[in-house]
Amino acid sequence: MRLEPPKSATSPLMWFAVLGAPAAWGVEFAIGYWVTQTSCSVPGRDWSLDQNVWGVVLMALSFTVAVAAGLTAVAMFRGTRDSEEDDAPPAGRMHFLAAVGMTVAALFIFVIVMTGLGIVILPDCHQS
Amino acid sequence: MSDVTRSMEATTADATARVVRQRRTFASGWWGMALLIATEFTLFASLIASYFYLRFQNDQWPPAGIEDPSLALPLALTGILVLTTVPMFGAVAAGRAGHRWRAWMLVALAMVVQGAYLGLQIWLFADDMNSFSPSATAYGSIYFTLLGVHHVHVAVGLALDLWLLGALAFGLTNYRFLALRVIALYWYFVAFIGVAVVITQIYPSL
Amino acid sequence: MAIAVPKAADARIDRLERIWAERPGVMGWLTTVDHKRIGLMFLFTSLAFFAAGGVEALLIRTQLLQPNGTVLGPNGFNEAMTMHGVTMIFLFVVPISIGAFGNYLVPMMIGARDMAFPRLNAFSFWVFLAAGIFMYVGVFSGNAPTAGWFDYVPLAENTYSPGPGIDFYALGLIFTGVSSTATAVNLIVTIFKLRAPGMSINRMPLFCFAFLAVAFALVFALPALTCALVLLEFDRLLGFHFYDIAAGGDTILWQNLFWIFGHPEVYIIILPAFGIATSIIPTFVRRRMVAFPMVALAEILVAFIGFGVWAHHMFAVGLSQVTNIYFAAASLIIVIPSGIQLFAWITTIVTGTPRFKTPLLWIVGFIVLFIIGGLSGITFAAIPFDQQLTDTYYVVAHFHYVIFGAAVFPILGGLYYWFPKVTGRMYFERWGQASFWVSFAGMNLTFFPMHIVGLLGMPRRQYTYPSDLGWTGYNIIESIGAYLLAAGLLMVVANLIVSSFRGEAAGRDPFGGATLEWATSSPPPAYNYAVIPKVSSPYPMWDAEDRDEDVANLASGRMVLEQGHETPASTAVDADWDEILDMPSSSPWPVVLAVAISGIFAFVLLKQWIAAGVFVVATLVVLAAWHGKEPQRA
Repeated sequence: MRLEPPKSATSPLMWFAVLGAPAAWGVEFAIGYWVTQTSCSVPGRDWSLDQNVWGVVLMALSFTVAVAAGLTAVAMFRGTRDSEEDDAPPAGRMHFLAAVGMTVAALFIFVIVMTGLGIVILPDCHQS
Repeated sequence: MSDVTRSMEATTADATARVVRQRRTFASGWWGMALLIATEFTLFASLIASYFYLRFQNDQWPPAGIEDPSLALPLALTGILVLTTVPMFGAVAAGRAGHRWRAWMLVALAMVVQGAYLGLQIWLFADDMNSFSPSATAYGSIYFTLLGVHHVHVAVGLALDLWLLGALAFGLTNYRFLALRVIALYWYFVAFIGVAVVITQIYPSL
Repeated sequence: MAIAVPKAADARIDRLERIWAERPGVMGWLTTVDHKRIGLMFLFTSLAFFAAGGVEALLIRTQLLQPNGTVLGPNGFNEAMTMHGVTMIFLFVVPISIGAFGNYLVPMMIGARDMAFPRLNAFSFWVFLAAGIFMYVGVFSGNAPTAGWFDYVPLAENTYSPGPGIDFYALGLIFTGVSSTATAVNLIVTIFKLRAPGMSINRMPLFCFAFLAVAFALVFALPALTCALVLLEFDRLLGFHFYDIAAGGDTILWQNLFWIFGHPEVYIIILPAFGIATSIIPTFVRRRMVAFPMVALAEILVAFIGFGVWAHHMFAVGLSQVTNIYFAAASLIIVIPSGIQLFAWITTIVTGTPRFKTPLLWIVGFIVLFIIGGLSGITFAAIPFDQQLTDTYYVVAHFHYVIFGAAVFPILGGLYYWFPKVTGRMYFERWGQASFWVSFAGMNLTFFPMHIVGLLGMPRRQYTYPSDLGWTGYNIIESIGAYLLAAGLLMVVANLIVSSFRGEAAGRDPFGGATLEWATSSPPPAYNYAVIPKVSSPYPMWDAEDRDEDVANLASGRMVLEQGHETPASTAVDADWDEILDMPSSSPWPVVLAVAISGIFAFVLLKQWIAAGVFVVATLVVLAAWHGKEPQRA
């Protein structure tokens, strides 16, 4: 799909392509870490937080956002196919950020899934 | 090239208004304050995270012998602090349009209310110290530290207001308009943190 | 190739020289706000602390040369190893990277005439100097901290560490944090706002990407340390109970807060070195960096993911397996951006035409040492392995390979590389190469055996060891290596000192560098650029047409900005020209403010609260005076 890439330096779509995947991982990390810490503490036991459920839900949501960001970056990259990375803005800047976004999305999709699988496979509240 | 502004040379209200209209991005001073806010935000995030970390190490919170925190007065005071962002916002709008004295009056109004807020908060702080001590339990330590650090930020804001009132009394240059803008930004931040801190403070009663 | 200067241009240059002239003498240095002078002050001060940290290291290695050594007793050893870590990290490697290299080179590489906040820049240096003196007052008064550079509680609490040693540590680090935060903010705003018009984000040199990443990491990491230290000092000075389990606190809270800072800190240590490496390589292989967007991304990514790995320093503390998995996953992923950079550097070298001069030698050494250090680091991401080797010399080996090999080697290479620019003279090449080989040999001799002796079970931070465990031979080799390394470093220092008096004239651009600092004379004039340069790529010096256009602009007066102390400000992403900024010239307020703040820290340490309060008021008064002087009148 060849989209006409947005031109502005503050385009939300462009920044989503670059920042969406890291943000998704950050959210999975922050909330997931908090859940694992809280659900194993004495007062937190009463809250009945199921680590596996939270782990899978967070992984699925983050995965979806990261994939969306990556696809946006791919579309942007193809839309600026004729530019070089040090061309003048907006085309050069878009091409550069699209390359960045594709790589970043791939990396964070990988770590999102790795983390989620680890949570599901390992026993809850088991001291390391 | 001639249409690029020499912004620091805007030393009258009209010239300042013109520079502000032409500028396309945030000024350096704005970025500086935004980054200072980022560090202070992270400091408060660390303190609030420490509060909840300690909470989950303790079965009873607050510990035995300490009352649950009251809800009404802290929430009301925080509401007042948040409301002072309105005159600050108005002051920036007035400054942007070149109305120096309107900006000055709005900052002065905000400062009076902020000062009253701080005074009441300090009174409450001292009152709390009479019922439980920061050097007896971890609850006390984090409670008073979190509140105290916020009050220090409010006090710094008052000092900034005082400087601003002095500076604006002498005229509206681009520099002083930027100062007005970043000090307002600081207050928006302090108000936001005030909400986060009060929610943390009253959390055991929620 | 000299840039021809037409006669009409001479008058403009004269005007710039007059506008930007520094005050003469000592007052000039005390009140300077020039980023180059400040960079040099950071350089010499941090090198002095490097020497102090080196002496501490040699004391440690001399004590450990033999089992049951008597050079240092247990307390003396604890002081030496604590101060070695604190000095090297907080008083040497971070200040030399961001304060010396960052301050001097970032404005030049983006075509600016100064940093965004020149007075804040000066303040940052004076605070660094004051904080370093503050901590060493503790050392020389017999009150050095003894709980290691990460100062775990409950050892660091009053019960087990009475006396002011830990207070010097905690207050000293909050104090240096003020300096680093100021420099970080300055770097970010400078890179965002002061880039030459046309230097959009995809045309910014990789050095600047690295320093942008470092600066953001500092802004978000330092407050966690400040929080940890403030809570510790409240426990120590006011009897609070944050870390006291009996009163509802938690000792692990310290570890979490410290490492939330501490892990990003180690990326803060290494990222500037990546920036230096990515500047030196293209110059000496005469080829643009392979996969430019990937390398730029990798530099930012290392800083970002670095915030998600902190508990890998706590794998042996007893957290749940599921909690640990977050950190293990992130720790494995963070290898990838580092790997991307390594592949890019190696490919660039191999596909270019390398000239193995001294700076490139240090970078090749860095690549080798970084690979070794990185591999030992990856082994730690495997939790079972980590739990066996935590607190052994294997850890010491790993972090010295990455800190010394991967952060300090590029710094030394960078000192050689930019020496001609800063002094106008060339260093002695053969002596430079020799200094590299001696240091490289010494480095490996000192730290490689530590992998083995760590695997054999030798614990770290022990002031001595028994003779019957088979560790003695390795320790002897390590200590000899340390002396060899010291000799290599002394060769570097001697080379640079002698060359600064006797070296040949270097000219503007002895190496054919790609970035803008090579366009100026050596040393650069106070105003850096007579003409704000035209930029169309991250390798501006290799764009001959743009450099010719600069010459034409100088003659016609375009982009010269000579009506005052001026530099352009542009939009953050695309560098469209937005306004002309008036920069302040010299000012006494930065050094005065640093003195006022020193008073606060000194009197808090002495528990004289009223005196500390007086200095708080003084600080506010000085801040008001500072901001009363507006830049257009400065």
